[in-house]
Amino acid sequence: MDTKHKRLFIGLGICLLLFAMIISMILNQPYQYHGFIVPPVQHDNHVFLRTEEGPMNLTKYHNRYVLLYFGYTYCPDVCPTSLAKLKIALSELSEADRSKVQVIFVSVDPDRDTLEKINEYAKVFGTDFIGATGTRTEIDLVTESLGVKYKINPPDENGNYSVDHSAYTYVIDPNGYLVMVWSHEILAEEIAEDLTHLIETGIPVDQQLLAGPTPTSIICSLTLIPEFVNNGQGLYEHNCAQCHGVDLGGIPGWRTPLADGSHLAPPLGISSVIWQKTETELIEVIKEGKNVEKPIHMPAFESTLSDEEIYSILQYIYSKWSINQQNYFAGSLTPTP
Amino acid sequence: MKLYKFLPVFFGLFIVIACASPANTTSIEITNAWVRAVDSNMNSATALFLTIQNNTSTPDMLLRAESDVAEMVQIHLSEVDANGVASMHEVAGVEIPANGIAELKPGSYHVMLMGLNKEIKEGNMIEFTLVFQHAGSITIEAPVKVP
Repeated sequence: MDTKHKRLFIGLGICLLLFAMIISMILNQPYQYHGFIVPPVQHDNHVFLRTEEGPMNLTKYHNRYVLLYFGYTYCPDVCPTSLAKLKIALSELSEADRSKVQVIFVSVDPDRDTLEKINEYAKVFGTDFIGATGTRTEIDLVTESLGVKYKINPPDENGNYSVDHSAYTYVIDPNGYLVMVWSHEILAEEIAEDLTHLIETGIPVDQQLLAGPTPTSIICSLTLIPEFVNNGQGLYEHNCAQCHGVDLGGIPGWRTPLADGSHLAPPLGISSVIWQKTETELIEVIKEGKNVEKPIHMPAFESTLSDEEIYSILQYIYSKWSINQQNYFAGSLTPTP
Repeated sequence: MKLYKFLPVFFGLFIVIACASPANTTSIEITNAWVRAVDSNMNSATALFLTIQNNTSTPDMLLRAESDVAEMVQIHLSEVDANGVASMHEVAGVEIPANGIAELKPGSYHVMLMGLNKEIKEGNMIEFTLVFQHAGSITIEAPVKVP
């Protein structure tokens, strides 16, 4: 082989190599989702709603992506259009992928939509679709947490009213966290494509971080008085931290009842469930204690703490909760009609 | 020539053409009409969708719709704003431009049916009377379809 041919050969080889590199770069491009990727937020995934089969938690659907849509059954147009679109999208998935998706239609109109009605309505679109709703407070906890907007419009002379609502579909990952939002305009095939990739690979962390700060605006309806919170901290550390922990984390295993029916000290902070109680109930437990006759018990503080001191401790505890927990609790203080 | 043998054929053709053509000659033409099916035992709402073609050189307006399947029949407009919030409100009518069309479709204008007193089941046909500003009343039958 002479030098001229050799050069040509090498040149051709380099060209081929470059070509292969470009092709592989194109093929390795990460999949671009059609939905908006939501940054990882520390939102509370223990929120619950009601279904015909009982209470429902977003973390209940292990290994499944939950698609949440918020609307109302009197909606003649936008809700059925969106649900019909989800139905078509799911029919395009493989059977294995299909079993990893759960659609939940949440009514923000519990006054007209009973659990039975909302469930029946959801089943029209898919036999495994679930209808859910809750009390106004429970619904608001979920909608505020996810950034869903809705407004019940004033009724006309016949009592009919419409409800404005976000027409987005909210994608909850198998751990119960919001990861993606699909707009109203998205096509069924785009939903199917996104779902296939979500199930196969999930969302790359860098894409999640690039998504930037959450646009969700959350308003807190619980009033915290800094003075009380400060006093409460000292009082808490002196009276409560011994059992409930300085970090309000409680004692591990508190959920499991002991042989005599009593419990270890539960957490009181962000990992607690006491925000589901009312203030009256909490004050009662502090004053009167719990299981006082048993070896492991919550002592009664009625004779050692004044009402103001108890209130300060509570304010300190409230300050450790998430905004959603605070809002939920505030709702139970002044129930919305 | 035994042309008279073909007379019945011509006659038949004439009838076919005569029957097929009135739609093209009317001033207002309705196509793609359908009603969204709803679960039978639910007191709920649904909607009629259709396409209206105006074959005249003056704009017309759909003023209202009537049907005995619902207690209230209103023309509504659904809108989704920039924040993705869907809302719906009653409108005075839907304008059909001269020699143009107006589409009543999901996510836009629709005839809203509230207080249903009949089953809106797939395969049923539902009669509606549409009242126009210029063309007057037009009666149509719309099939019920699954969403």
